Amino acid sequence: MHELGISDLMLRAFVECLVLVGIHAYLGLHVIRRKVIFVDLALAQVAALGITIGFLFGMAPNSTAALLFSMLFTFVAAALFALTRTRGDRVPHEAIIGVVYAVSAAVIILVVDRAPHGAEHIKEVMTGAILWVSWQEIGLAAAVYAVVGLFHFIYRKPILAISDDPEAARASGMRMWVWDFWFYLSFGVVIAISVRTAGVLLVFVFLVVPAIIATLITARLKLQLLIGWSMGLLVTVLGLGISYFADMPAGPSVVSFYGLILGLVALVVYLWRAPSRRQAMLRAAYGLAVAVVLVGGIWSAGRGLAASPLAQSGHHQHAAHDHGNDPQVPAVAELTIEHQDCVFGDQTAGQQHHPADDHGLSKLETALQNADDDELRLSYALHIACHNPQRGARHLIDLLQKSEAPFIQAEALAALQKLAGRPFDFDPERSPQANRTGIQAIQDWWRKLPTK
Amino acid sequence: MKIFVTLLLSIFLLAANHAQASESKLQVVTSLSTYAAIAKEIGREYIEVDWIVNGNQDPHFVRPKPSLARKLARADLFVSTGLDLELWAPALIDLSGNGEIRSGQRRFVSASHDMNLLEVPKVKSRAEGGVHLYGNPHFVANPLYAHQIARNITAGLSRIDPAHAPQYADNLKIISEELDRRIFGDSLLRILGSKILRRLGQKPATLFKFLRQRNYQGQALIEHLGGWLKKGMKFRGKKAVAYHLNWTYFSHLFGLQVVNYVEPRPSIPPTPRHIQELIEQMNREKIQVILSANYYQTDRLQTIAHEVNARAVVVAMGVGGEAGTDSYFEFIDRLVTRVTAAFD
Repeated sequence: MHELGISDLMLRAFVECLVLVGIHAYLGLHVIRRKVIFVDLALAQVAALGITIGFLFGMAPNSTAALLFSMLFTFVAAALFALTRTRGDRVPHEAIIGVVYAVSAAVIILVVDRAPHGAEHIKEVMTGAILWVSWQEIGLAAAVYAVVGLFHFIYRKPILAISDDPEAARASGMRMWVWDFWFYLSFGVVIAISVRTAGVLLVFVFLVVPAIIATLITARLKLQLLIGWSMGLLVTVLGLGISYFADMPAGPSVVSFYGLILGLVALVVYLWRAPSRRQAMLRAAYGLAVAVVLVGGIWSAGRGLAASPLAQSGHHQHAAHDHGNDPQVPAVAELTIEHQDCVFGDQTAGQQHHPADDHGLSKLETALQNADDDELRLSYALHIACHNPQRGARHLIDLLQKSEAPFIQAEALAALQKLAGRPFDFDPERSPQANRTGIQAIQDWWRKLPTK
Repeated sequence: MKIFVTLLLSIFLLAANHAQASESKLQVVTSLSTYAAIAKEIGREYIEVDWIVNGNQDPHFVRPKPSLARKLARADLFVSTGLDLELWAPALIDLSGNGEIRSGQRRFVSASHDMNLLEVPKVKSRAEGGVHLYGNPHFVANPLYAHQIARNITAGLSRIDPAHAPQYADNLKIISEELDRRIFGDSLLRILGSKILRRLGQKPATLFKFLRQRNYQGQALIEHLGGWLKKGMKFRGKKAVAYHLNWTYFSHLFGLQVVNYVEPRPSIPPTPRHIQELIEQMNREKIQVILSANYYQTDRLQTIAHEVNARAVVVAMGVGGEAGTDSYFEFIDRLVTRVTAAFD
């Protein structure tokens, strides 16, 4: 079979990541300016809630119906965010966003609890399945993001104005909540689409981390955008590469790698900007040492705690219990023997009362010949013997000679002895040679039977 | 120096040889580790087996990882349950680009082919929880069903590698005889033969009625019973509670009465009220044992078990799911031993 190269496996995930980076790095700059870091998590969670409720209605999570349904949810959330921003500052906007996030996350759990394999669905909503993304999904995302991007480009002035300095914008008489609504709406559309494939976590880091890095380095928007895009590209390539070579789930790999890169960039920027490079280096070294000690400490604490009796789950300590003299549940109810229509016994002549016609007998004989095993053959032979001892006995003798199961031989022997009314010198446990005289005697008896 | 060069050369040659040997072997990939263990018994030196779900993992769900698709891309034969257990498989096969191992294709083996499935629903609807639409697919815990799994795998191997079909048939015979010995014991197997026992074993209640009521040389047949079924007589007819409905086939063969499940409906996590009802029922009916595969949350089980003074049996429901269960025989052995111990 053919080998799967890295490009076969990761190309789609890679292109999807690029498409995501394009729009998210830009929107992330707005998010940072507005200081509403949680807004995308909240919108993503609301979109996921829409998908989940759609799932309960019977829409497949990756269907267009589910997408439209989840957008409906994000519209509502966008309106909510737009309206709450203008309502003074006593309650921070971020608080309302956080509440929306928490509530929709909780409702998702409540909803999927009703659905099969719900826990797995939650996990998928969080981490996505970017490895599984199809070209159609990528195409759809690219098209929608392009429209959103165009919208933001055309109206960049008012949108930037309300993101950058809302007070000045308000003072100049702009209708704040209308622009806010448009912003959150376009944002919600983007999130609703990206969450489907990338998952909440990946969307969050795509949005926030390149923007943070860019903001750390420069304050100019154009430059920030360029830095954000190139950072996103770099991290995506390396993160997916790590996922491929270390064989780890793709989405979470990229997310974790973003975290690492952010830490490194922050360190470099800190060293770069420091008035005294030497002192900064020294501090960084201290910080590194503290981090190493901290990690080591946590690691050894984990080892120590795991080995201690505290690591046992509480119930184990009480697991021993007494079940000495509990009443035993009776064994399976004895079932009655299936009634055999012929009571095989001393009055073989009695069977003549319901003689079977030849047709019936040959049907039984066909069944005997087609039977899968000797136990079935034995029951057919006994049936036949009930109606016609001579024909039945022939099959019984057949079984006696040919069956490899001693039990069947013993049963056939018992039946023959009953039919003959006398014992034969045959023992299934003996060798065929030792049984030869017995077989001879049985055959002699059989030849004398009347054929009718 | 000469020796060194010779050594190096021979190592290269060995490595090349090895690579070639593994290249010429059939690459068999199975969804479950249990199928892999059975496939190994049949393909032996002609195949190399890999699997996707370990014995201690939930076969209902698999995280997408690049290596899984790569595994399937290389596969000459893919063995899967063939029902709606591995719902993740089609997406994985798509990604692998290996169309020939798709369900129904030449290089696909359905382990459940020609199998007598239990719990086939009358109404097909997922509203009842993750109910399996074609019948219960968790049959690996019934060793009698391993016969059919082995036959299906043998058919698949012989189809793609006819040259070795006689060897596969021989190996099938070996594993089947071993299964019979382990299930019924030597004595009963000698007296009745495998054909009769396998047929009667499909209806275990009938089998036991037969064994109890029929005699051989003045002794009830049940006295000749050995193997796992003999061991399992300790809990035949007894009551227990199970976590998920993956105990159906095991309890069917061993006559264990699973009277309720920790999951209120299949694959739906337990709700507080259901747990409460379950505890009440266990107290009322004096049920002492809770069974669960070791991939489910065992905390809850321990809680319930503690509440009603019962024993929780948390055991691997697949080959390799815990230490010392690396063959199919060891796996069933462990299962029977653990359940028996719980009823001690």
